[in-house]
Amino acid sequence: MTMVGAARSAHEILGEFPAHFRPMPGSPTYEEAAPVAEPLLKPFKFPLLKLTIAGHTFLPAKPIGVNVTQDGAWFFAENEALNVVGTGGSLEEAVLDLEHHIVHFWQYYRSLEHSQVTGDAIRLKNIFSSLLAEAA
Amino acid sequence: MSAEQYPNQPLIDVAFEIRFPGDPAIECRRDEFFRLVRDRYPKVYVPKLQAGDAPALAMYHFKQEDDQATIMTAINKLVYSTKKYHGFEAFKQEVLRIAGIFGNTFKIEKLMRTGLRYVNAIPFVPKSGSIPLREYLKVGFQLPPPATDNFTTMNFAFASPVGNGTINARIEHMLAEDKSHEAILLDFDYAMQSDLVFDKIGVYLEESHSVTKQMFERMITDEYRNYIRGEEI
Repeated sequence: MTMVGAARSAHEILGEFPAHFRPMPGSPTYEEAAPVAEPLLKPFKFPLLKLTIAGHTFLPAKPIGVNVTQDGAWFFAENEALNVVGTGGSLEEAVLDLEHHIVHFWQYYRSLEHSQVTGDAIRLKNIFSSLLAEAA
Repeated sequence: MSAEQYPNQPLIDVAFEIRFPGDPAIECRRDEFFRLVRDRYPKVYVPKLQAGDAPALAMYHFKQEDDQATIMTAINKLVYSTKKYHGFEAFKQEVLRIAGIFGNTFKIEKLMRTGLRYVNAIPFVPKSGSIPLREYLKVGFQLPPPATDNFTTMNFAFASPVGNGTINARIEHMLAEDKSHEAILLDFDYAMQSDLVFDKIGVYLEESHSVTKQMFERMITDEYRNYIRGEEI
């Protein structure tokens, strides 16, 4: 979300000043003005009801609650129970990254035998194994 | 939005309004009503008027200390609105309590209109730049090609007669106040307008709730319903 004026000059936006007009002395141009601070995203939560990765659609057994936060230029989409976080330069990128992680770990934990997991991985295998179903 | 309170409910505002033939006594003795509700609604907001506005029709607001609930009155209407909805029974109890105080202070018999409004904001993150409308709502639009219903924005409103009233609905793409995220606005207002009497407010409220609840329940997808009920991972 780039603010108009942060990277573009007044000339690019407005075109040349008409010949009979000149900027007011002392009036800052867009380039001289201090960058406008973008408001940080207020954390919010939404449900992931469908995941789409590389043309494949996956439906979760239950909605996956996603907490979204921002730190500087980075966005984070997280589900604590699944222990996964997606990151990106935009909200949409962070959620897509999270979807990739979820599908990856779903495939990964399903490929493991119970004897191959210990500690928290036992809990994660139990959750991930029945987490998704691929839509026809 | 139901008798039970959902953990992930998207409600942002609920309001019940009654309109009646104007009574100047309400303007003259507004202080009497305020004295009876000020223990819970102590903050007074007066209307800002512009040239041409009728002062008696502009609503005074009596708000709770935390601004989460408001009573609004003018000479021809009374509204109760809350941002913290603890289920329909609690909402109805407060509406009837306020209406009871109002009815004892001013003699209102005939009503012109009742309206129950539920405003929901469903947060979402766009998918490929579009609103994932069908993931949340069972509404669809058939558009002639090459247009598709992968909307990047939308604004849809309709009014439809239901039972003894009319349901007014608005489905709209909105931006959070701080512009940080997007949401689908789902706004239902059920209005009744004929042969209404003040003493039956409770009945009208029940009927209005029943209609708006059905509308909401049938408009959202099963998956989203599970989520607002707290069935989530």
